[in-house]
Amino acid sequence: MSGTRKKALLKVIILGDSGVGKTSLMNQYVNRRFSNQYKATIGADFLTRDVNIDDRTVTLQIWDTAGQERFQSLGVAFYRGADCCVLAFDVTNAASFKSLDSWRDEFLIQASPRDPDHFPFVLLGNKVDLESQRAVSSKRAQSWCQTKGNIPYYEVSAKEALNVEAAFLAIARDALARESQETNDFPEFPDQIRLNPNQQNQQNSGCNC
Amino acid sequence: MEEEVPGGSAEATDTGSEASFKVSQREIEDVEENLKNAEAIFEHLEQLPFQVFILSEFGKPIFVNNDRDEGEVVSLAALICAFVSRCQSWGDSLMSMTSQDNHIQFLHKSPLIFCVVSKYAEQLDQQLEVLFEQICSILSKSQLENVYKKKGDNYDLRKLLRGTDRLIDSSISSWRASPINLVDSSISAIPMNSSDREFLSTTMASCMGAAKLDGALFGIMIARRQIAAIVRFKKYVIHPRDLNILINLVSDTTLKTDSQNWVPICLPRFNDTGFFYAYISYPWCNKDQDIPACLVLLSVKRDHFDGLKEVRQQIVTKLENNAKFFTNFSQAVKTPNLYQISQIGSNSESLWSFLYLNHSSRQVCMSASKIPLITRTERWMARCEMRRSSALSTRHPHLRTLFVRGTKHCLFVWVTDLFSLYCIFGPFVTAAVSFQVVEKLLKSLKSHEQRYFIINTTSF
Amino acid sequence: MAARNSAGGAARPGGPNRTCQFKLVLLGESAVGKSSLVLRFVKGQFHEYQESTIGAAFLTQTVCLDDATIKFEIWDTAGQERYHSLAPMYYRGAQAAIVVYDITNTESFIKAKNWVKELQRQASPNIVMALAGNKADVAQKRTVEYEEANAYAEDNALLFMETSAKTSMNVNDIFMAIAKKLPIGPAQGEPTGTVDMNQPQQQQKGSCCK
Repeated sequence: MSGTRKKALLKVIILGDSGVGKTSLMNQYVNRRFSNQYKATIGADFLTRDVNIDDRTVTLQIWDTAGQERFQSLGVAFYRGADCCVLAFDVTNAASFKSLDSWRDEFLIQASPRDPDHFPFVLLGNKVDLESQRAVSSKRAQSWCQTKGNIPYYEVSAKEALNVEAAFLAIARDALARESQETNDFPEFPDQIRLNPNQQNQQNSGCNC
Repeated sequence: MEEEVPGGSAEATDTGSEASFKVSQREIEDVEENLKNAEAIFEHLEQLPFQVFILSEFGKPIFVNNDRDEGEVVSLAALICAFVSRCQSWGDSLMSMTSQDNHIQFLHKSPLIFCVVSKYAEQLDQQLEVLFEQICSILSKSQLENVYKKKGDNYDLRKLLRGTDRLIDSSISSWRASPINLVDSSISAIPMNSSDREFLSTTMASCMGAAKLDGALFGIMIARRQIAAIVRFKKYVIHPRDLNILINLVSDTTLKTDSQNWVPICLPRFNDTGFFYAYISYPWCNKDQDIPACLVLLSVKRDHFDGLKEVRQQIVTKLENNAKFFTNFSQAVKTPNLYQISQIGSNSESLWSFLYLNHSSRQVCMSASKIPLITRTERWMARCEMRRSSALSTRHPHLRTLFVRGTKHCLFVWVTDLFSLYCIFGPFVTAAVSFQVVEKLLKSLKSHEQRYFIINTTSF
Repeated sequence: MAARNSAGGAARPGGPNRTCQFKLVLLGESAVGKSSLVLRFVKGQFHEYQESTIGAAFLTQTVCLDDATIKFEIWDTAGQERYHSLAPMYYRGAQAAIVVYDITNTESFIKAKNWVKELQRQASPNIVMALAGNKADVAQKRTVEYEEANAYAEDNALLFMETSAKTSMNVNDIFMAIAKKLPIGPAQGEPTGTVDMNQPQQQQKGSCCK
């Protein structure tokens, strides 16, 4: 029957320095890869992934952003309307970890969510398979997460995308939970049209019929 | 006897053009199987004559036509959003893109973005405007804007549009299938005797006037996407675009014909912040009669249902009591008697089809199907030709007359300040001859104008 | 105007073949089967792919009881969110309401309970309410147990039946049950009130009878 519930759609932005490995992570994860060729020109790749939570399917619209300076002017349209923001860094690259603050701040400024303190972020620490080159400990990442309102932290590597899946499942689950908590706040029907006598016989607005 | 409506129709329930257009769309869709891969989906979409997308200005898909699921085109929607916002970041606004035989038109009307990908380039910008107004008619423009402000940029507008897919789809198919996309800003009248139309109008007007419902503004009798009569309160007018929104609502079986309907509807050209309440009934669609006429009574007051129900009853009773009128009316509605080209007189055989638009009343008259433009394909070809002509004349406003000779047919276009006329002639006609025929046509139309046009509106 | 004005005012005492008119409204989430229930009740038909209701549809149907004929004036409302704030227009001045949910859809049951609450707060205090658990023909997919809904209905003094518009199970029954509960005759000996649709603030004074 028409009118049955459609799949939930979530806009997810992936932010982080270029080179942290976002793209290869995403490529492992998504089942519908639109194209990798837009990042260089537009500033993001657009990916889709469906996840199943209980009996519901959630479609994730993933904006895998380029992470370069010159695309930051696109911030507003890219970031606004996001349901969740995934921050990514490279555990072997301390600088990429230090950038997280400015990525997060940048996002909150550009996206201006209604409740910035509770906006859902997720942190991904990539390249954990290169343990010997690790520059940022798990503990350090987790304490950063705690200071930022208990952001969930997942360690991932392109070789094992399992945790990536867990991260997105958590995102989807969280979004669905928020949805059901939404107050029954129904749109008010507008007030009665106030008739304007000047509206009669407007030459350019009506047909003479 | 074959049913005849503008553009021709074979089935009784067929509203004509859009069905034939939908057929070609469906045939391609049959090829589709379980398309999971994005590239496969896009390849498939590429084959379709047109595809319409509605998304939020931040990239969330809201509507895709042809029963597609928005979830399938999620990344494409993001791309559209990225294109539009990229241009915006330059201080510009993206209007269109063309690639080989694809024309892509964009319209950004905050908080939404509209995009159409089409094989045909005609008036896509207007089509998107019409679509925007269709969305406004469901939500009202103010509610549309406010809901994002209130609920956040990530709000899923599909929640508010639930159940309207079919309505939006039929709005799109109807303008896609119309012979000229001018039709979205024009209406056509059901051909009727002038005395019958007058009786209908005065009956409707007197019943509405007698009810003294303060706020009831319009009464309209619609059949087969054409207008039989409109009556209005004092000098309030209703724009053809708003009329077409109403026509779309009452046609195509979106509403239940066996019950009375009370539908809030925003008519954006009249007032885009509030709602009318439409009393809609199909008094003669039941097991005993099958007259597909629909009576629409509009009021700005939401508690006028009972009053309008009474009005409708009185109108129906009075109409039925006039047996002669009622017989003529049933006939006119069930089997519309479109303008027959043979009415022009001798030497009119070479004229195969025409569409006439009166600029001031925004009313259209189109000829009945005539050999050799009878089959669906032939009529479709005629529509395409007229479309192209109208697009041509829109692009070149100084173009007044145009005669194009082709191997299969000739085109004659004549645009004045008062009217536009698009004609298809046989291939052996000269410009001079076609002009003569057209002059006779115009005289004929004029002498029969009471039948094919609504000349006077009745007020109450 | 269509005010249901009973000529003469007072109901005739006793006697068969009185005709009474009652306004009945159907509420419930989108796609639970409100229109299907009405279609089954009024026309005895069922369509597998019933289109979403746009706005609201108004139909009438008459049932015969032993001592009266009841004419239902039925408002089949659209369940979508965008129409929610219009609901009072329909249930105000209604003498009966059927709140419908889909037994295979838990959320529709939650929504139904919200409707019941709203009616209890805003509708006429005498309104006869029924809860219908529709789509009983696919009970194998049920997610709302009969007992749970039944208990809820009892707690809230609602009539309750599981129905199937598809098989017609309990459809007539639920309307009949409502009809039997409707007050026929003046309440507390007062003359029958008029119910003017254009003044929803007016107190609902029970039925009208001719």
